[in-house]
Amino acid sequence: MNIWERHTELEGIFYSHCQSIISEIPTPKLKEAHKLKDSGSIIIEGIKFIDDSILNFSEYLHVGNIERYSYEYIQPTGFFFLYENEGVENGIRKPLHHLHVGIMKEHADDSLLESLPEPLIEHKGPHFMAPRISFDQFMGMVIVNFFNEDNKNCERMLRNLGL
Amino acid sequence: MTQKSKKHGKSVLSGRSFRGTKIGTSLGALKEHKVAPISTANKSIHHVGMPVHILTKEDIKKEIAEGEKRFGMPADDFYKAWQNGKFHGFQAMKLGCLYELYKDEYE
Repeated sequence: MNIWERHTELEGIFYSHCQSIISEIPTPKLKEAHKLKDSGSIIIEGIKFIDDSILNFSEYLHVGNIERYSYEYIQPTGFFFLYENEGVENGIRKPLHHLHVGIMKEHADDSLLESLPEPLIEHKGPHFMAPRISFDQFMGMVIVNFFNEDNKNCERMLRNLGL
Repeated sequence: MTQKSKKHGKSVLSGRSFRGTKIGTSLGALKEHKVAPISTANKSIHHVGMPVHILTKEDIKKEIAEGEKRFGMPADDFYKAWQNGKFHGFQAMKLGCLYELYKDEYE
């Protein structure tokens, strides 16, 4: 797979499978590596859902494989979770595939931040060990947890994502 | 390992014609298509095709400069610190990876 094929897959996810819950998609930024076949990066920051929550997406392809990824979902309250593989591993301290959960300062209100324990602010908490996750699975988690009021639509989106 | 849309075991659009064109042609059109973010009044997007911005050398330099400002240090220092687990999160990974990409492609 090259970055153009991946771009086409993402187009299907955002513009077809999940279009009913997405309100805005910033222009994706692509960079194809020229020294290495089927390599490069895709970055889409600030995809907006209909409830004003946000998704940040980045993938870095290396010889046809998604070698690194970062999928971040942020709610207007500041609550966020981020699944990533940065390609950097430090045993149990920082598993290759890991999850961050917390509150983003930038989005949260001051009174909330004052009452939060330190590990819940930004990325100060643990690198929770996680399985390798696909973007389809990540979107599925967002859908079932935060866009499940219309059950029929929820099931349709999951089916389209192959979940 | 690759991640793929699992519907029918392949890309939702690959191997099919799209907006009356073959995918190769469609991708060529996408490369030229640099419209603004899409937003509709009824809070639902329409299938008008996802635009794309191809990052140039200058764009990457600009992204790295913005990252340096965000993390308050030169990219070289940031990169070492990031590799040593001093920085975390989406923006940190973006800067680290773009820095690597820049080095690989242009230096």
